[in-house]
Amino acid sequence: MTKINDKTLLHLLKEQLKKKRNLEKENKQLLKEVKKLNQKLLESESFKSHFISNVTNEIINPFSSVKGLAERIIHLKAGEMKKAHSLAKLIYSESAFLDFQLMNIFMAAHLETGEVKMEISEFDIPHLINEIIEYLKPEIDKKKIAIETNYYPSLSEGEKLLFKTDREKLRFILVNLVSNAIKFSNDGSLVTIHIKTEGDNFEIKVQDEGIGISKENLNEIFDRFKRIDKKIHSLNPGNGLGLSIVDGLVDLMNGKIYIESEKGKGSIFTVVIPPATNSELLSDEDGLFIDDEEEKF
Amino acid sequence: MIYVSSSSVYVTTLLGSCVAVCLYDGKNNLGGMNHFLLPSWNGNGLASPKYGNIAIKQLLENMEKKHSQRKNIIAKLFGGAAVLDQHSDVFRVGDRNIAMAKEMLREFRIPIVAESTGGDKGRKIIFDIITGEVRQKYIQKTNVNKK
Repeated sequence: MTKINDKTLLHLLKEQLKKKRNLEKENKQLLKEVKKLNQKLLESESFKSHFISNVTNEIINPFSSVKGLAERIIHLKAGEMKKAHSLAKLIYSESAFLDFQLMNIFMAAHLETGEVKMEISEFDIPHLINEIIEYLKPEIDKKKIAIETNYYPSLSEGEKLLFKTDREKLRFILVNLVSNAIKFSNDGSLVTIHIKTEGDNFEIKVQDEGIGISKENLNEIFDRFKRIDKKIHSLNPGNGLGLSIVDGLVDLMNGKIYIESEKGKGSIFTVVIPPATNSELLSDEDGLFIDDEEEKF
Repeated sequence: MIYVSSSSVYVTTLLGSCVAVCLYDGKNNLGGMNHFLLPSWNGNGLASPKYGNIAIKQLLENMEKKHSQRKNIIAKLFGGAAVLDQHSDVFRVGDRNIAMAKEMLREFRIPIVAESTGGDKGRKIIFDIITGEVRQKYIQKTNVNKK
């Protein structure tokens, strides 16, 4: 028969107590995580339905607008060319907004299913930037925003700056960043686009003097369905997709995105993209050279 | 992308740095394939099958819904190439995708009976769902003319 003395018993009791405390700690942690997940689920559901009703409005409203404006043009009398021109400009502006919203929705859906492929080409950056500014002209003119573009190292008039990546994806990223900068800027303020080519990488900063983002909201900013401030959201229509798509595309292009911002003092969004040096990242199958040799597994 | 079937189909996909996991249940002649871009979902946004840890889990769940049992399932792994040149592929997405696939399959105790991964060429694969056979061809790189 083994004798258990007091010292051993005490030691055993202490061990048991330690185990019990550890289990309790673990349970508390698990409970915390379950509550967190539950909260995320509820938020996700709430924002999803908020997003759906929001998107519905933002597609239906411009369409109704376009229809109404077209109807007014139909009923114009001969000689009212100036009025027709003015109405046509409004139609163009509404259509451009709609085009942008739909592009974002489709891109988000494609990213979600993993169907987005890269198509690499070499193109001129200043030409792309000018194209983007032209595309966003209705928004720019509406809010009387001043747009400035700076290149480091500087470029002379007409000088090209060539870069190799997926032009359409980069265009998408920049349209969203510049559009956001305009959206969250006050009327008459400045949006600056800084382009830097350091080594092989392409770096672009989009800087605004707008409402900025608080520290607490910075982490949540790329969450797909979340809009930072519901009050701001009601004044600045948008479906919150843009930035999460930007994040997804930058990821796909092996790039990085950074944000510097202070509430009330504006924001700087920086995107760094490395060059793609092969001409194909597997796009259209018809354009691929597939080996004759086949292996079986 | 995730596809599971017990019908006589071929599933085909193109892979660069993406990885495809082909799962095959020889007992029930049932198979499935996924195709994911990035290794793991970090908890932000929606848990999408473009991430490996989500795609592999969902593929297995879909097969189990069609009455497949894990003990009968084997895996074949493809893709994860470094199709960009080494200097640009600083994030090594291909390697990370392969590592995630292997880790997940190890966790689910699904043996990998065949693989063609890594390297610097893309792949085209065709998975015969009924027999479990996968045929693969490499995709040649083209030369780029510099301006």
